[in-house]
Amino acid sequence: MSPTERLLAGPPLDGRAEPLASHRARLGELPVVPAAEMIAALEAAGMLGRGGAGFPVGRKWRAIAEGSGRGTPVVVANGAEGEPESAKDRVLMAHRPHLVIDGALLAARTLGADRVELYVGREHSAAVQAVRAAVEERPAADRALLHLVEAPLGYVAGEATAVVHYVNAKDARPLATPPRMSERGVRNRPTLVQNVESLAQAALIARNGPDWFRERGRGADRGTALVTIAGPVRHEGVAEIDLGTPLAELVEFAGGLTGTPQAVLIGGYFGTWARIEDAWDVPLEPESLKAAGLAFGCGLVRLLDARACGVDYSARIMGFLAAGSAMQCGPCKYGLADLAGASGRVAAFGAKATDLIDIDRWTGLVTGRGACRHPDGAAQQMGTAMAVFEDDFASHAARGRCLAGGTRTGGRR
Amino acid sequence: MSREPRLTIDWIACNGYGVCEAAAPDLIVLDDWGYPILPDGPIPPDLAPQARRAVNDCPMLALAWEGDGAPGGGRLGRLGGRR
Repeated sequence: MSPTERLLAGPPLDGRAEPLASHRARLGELPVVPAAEMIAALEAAGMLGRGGAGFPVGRKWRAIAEGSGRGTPVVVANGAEGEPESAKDRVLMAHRPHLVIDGALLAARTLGADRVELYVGREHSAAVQAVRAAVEERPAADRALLHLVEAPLGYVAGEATAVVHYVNAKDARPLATPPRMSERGVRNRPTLVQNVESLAQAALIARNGPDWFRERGRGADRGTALVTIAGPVRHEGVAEIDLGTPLAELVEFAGGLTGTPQAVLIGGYFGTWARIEDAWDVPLEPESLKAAGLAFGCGLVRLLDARACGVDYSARIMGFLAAGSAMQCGPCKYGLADLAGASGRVAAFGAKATDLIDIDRWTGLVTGRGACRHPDGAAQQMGTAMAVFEDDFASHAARGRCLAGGTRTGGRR
Repeated sequence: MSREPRLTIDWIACNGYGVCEAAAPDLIVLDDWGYPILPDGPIPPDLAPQARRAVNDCPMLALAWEGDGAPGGGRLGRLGGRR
């Protein structure tokens, strides 16, 4: 049970997808809204994209509607969700596939697109099945637009240019920009790549209007959002919250603590670490988090127990992100590998004398130096981990001791 | 409208040969892995000749000049004839 229910209103989240009949009985048909009015409504709602980058959705649609790209636009619903600890997109697609499809069709109607690619991470089998079945339930006119594409494994496979590259050429590596996807994307046509939660939100805004959307939310950023909470709480998983709900309240909704968290990773593996006392009362919304030096990202809230080693945890994430590089750009290919090597040595009590200085320097050096933002995100995670677990990094490197109780025979998670 | 000249790079194309550093030693340094670190701001007028040489010499055509004063003839001009 979520603290608030808009996207997740309706039948219980028991692993079964809501059928079309139930979806329609509950929410009615997707209304026909003139394109200019729909884009204005998204802008008035002020909704930010929910995929990680937080780009304003209305502005993104307008860029395509008024852009200089040539050809009939294409819409891609991005449900790759390659973020290992995030589950919100897969839970949404598995239980409310018709709301996601409504949003994708709304975008297609608004932008005059004649093709919708439903890009769903192939490892999310319940979501793939639910979306496939939901397409089958749709009338022929909808089905003619909808194409299910199973996204390949890989952290960067959900990056917008990688999505377009895969749909075009079955190669999920990011592309150099320009051209912008809004001008030349799928089949060289103007392409909207939009996260599935953002599309589902848009489908509700089409029905209820921007004022309704803005009724929820406690701070500058309005509306509700899906988040994934993980760590020492009674009920780990996905919840829908009013944006601006403090972390402390989210933990309460998740059944309360089952341990003593020392820190929290917010936003995803490309996100930011914070000491628990610094994050406990911060409203979970992009603007407040940004003011606190944090990032909302994809809505992951990962608490780390005091007995778990933050050095080891962040080094493992670094290793994962280094392996997840598309290996196209030098600073990302070699820089992330070196960062993973150095942080891994520190975590395992085998640090070289220069490792801590190098980690600090390399996080700066890889930032902003790739075709996509993968190195930037990896550096952000590593850099904030170094700050939050500063004493433990130093203790690992200098004394071969873990302040959280990890031992030479292996850090604890 | 005039635009201040800057160097930009296609990171996917760049292979780290380091030719740009040799061509523009006062403008470009290489990082720990041999990839160029470009200046943050616009190219200062006195270093424009170095920048032009770096753009023209890049074997991967990864380095580009953005804004006013692009190298004369461009890459295709060079590829097409001067040798």
